[in-house]
Amino acid sequence: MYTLLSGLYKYMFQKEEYCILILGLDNAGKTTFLEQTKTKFSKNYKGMSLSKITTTVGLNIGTIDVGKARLMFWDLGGQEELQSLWDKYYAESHGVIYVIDSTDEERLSESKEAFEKMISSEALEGVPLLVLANKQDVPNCLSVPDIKTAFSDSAPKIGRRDCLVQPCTALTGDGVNDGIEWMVKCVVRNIHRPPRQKDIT
Amino acid sequence: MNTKNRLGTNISPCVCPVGNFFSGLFASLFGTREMRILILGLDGAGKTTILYRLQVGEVVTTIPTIGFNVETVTCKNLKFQVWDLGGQTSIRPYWRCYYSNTDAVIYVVDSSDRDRMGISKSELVAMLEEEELKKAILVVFANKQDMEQAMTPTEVASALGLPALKDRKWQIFKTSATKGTGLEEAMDWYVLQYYTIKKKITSKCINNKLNKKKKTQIWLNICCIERNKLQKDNVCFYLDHVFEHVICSIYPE
Repeated sequence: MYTLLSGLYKYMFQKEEYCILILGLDNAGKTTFLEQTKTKFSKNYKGMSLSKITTTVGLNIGTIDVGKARLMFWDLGGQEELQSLWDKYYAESHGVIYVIDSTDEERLSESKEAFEKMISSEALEGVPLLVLANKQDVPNCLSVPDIKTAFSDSAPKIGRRDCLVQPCTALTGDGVNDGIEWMVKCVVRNIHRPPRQKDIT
Repeated sequence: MNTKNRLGTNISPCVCPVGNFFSGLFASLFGTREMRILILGLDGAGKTTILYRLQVGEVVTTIPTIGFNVETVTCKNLKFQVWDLGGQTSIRPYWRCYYSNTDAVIYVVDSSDRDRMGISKSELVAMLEEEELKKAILVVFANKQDMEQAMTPTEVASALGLPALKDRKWQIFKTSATKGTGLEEAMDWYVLQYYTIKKKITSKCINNKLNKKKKTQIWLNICCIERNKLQKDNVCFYLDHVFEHVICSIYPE
């Protein structure tokens, strides 16, 4: 009887918590993406004005609820010397969102290097990857096929992970919903990384 | 005078503490509240220099703070009440008396002091475990970046174990209080954060009655001010005992 009741209680009040890392080079739009996500997915959240967001040298966090899943975002600074801190978060994350600045063709190879270094890490094996081609609102930006071509030789390293390249504009919010929904679907069905259980208090 | 046994405050002559006290009381009664920021860190990290650099924009000659300094810092038309607490080993246990109602903690680290990074880390970890600071934003200043052997912000972050903090927003800035670099960016960033938390605070303050904690806080402030006045008359030695007794009776642990 107790098991039944506690099971019911758990079913009703427990959320499955997933940790999502947001990575990418500096100025790719990671914090903007996080703020936009928080604004879209939590009802009473009035975010900071997106135009005023400055460089992150540390960690921003955000939590949203999508259905039964609770996503906790870790948005890390992307400057070169801060990239050495990324791997400290790999072991506990359930998914990675990698943000690329589609307008910055010059630094695309740098971005790819950081990306390859990240996916080569063993701690991230089997973790779904969402690659966001951000800033799609800017004319003459790189399209999704362009980016896919540029990143094509990373394919073997990605291996059997779930991976999606999603066009998006963090500033206006286009593509944000699709990306997050895909991410939720993937982390929920990923049996290799069970969620953290968390009671709602 | 026995400086080790002193526990009081050095309030600078440019502010009127009594005025501060009344305006603070007024504000807490009528709904709006200044954001409260604590500056913490080991001794010699540069906390007092940072406080006065923020307030008057100048480098002032400081002596080791025994007790605390409080100033109102105006930044982008916003007023912040900034508390700078002494960082010596003997007075670090008293930091916790000031934790309530804190919106942000500025943790100052001397980037050139590699030997004491470990102590700095353990103090930070102990501080962040406090329940009253659960909601506070953490801003780390990797200070003394003008020194040649200074560690980079990333090194400081790793040495302090910041990547282990998974449920708290934190940001690290490289600063040099004597040169004045980095402080402005840090405050700009903080002002931005302020707007996102402001909403919660105003709703919290609408039917504000002075609760017990606030009362004791104010009382403590009075004690400090009174003590400061009496300091000249050479009775502070006696008063130290009274003051310590007051703290111990309010915070029994």
